[in-house]
Amino acid sequence: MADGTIQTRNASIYWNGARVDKTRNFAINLGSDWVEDTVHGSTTKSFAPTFSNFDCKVTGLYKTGAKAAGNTAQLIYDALNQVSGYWSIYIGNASQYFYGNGYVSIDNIGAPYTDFAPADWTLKPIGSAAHYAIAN
Amino acid sequence: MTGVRLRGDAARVLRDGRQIGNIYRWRFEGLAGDWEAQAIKYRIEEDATGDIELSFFLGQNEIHAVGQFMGDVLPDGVMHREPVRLKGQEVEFR
Repeated sequence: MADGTIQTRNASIYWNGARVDKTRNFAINLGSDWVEDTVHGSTTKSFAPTFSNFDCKVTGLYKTGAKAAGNTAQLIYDALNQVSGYWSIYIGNASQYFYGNGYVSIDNIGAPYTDFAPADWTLKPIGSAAHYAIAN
Repeated sequence: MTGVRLRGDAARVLRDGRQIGNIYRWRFEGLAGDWEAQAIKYRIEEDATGDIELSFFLGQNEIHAVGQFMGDVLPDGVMHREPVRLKGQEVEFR
């Protein structure tokens, strides 16, 4: 199985319409998988790609404050209570982004819960993710 | 799979809203309905069998959970440097 991975900086991620602050790096796994579509009589196997396993791992820092859109407390609340949301990930500028609905999981957050604590989390779509790009 | 994996320094152990001890250097994993926690030290002053409440502090926020100790803990008010495990279901993020 081949996975296309984009490692990116200078990007932003939105969860339920609010930009999540203090992110440092994203690793977007397009989750490509292949299904065989060889037909009768063909002497070579052929395959078509599918993108069924998209996820996005985010590393960042803890954004302090009471639970509010865009900060870490809101993400913890949504992960703990399995609250789904809509998301978008902008890469570099506003003309290219991924979007969809999904869940978040909090993978690692270390005490003390201050501005310098790590906050790593994962975004997992419900169904497949969509991609939008304006041709340059 | 959603859920959280968090860690912290000290968490309060309460019964009927009254503090009966602390656990230290805790780790909390899971989600509402199914969570598990570990700590490397504890100090419990009263009987802690059955359901207890826990307050895991996360800066300005707090996870309030109801659970049970897995295994025996000594309710003698002395600091024990022994790992303890807890499991529970009910959890509320404040």
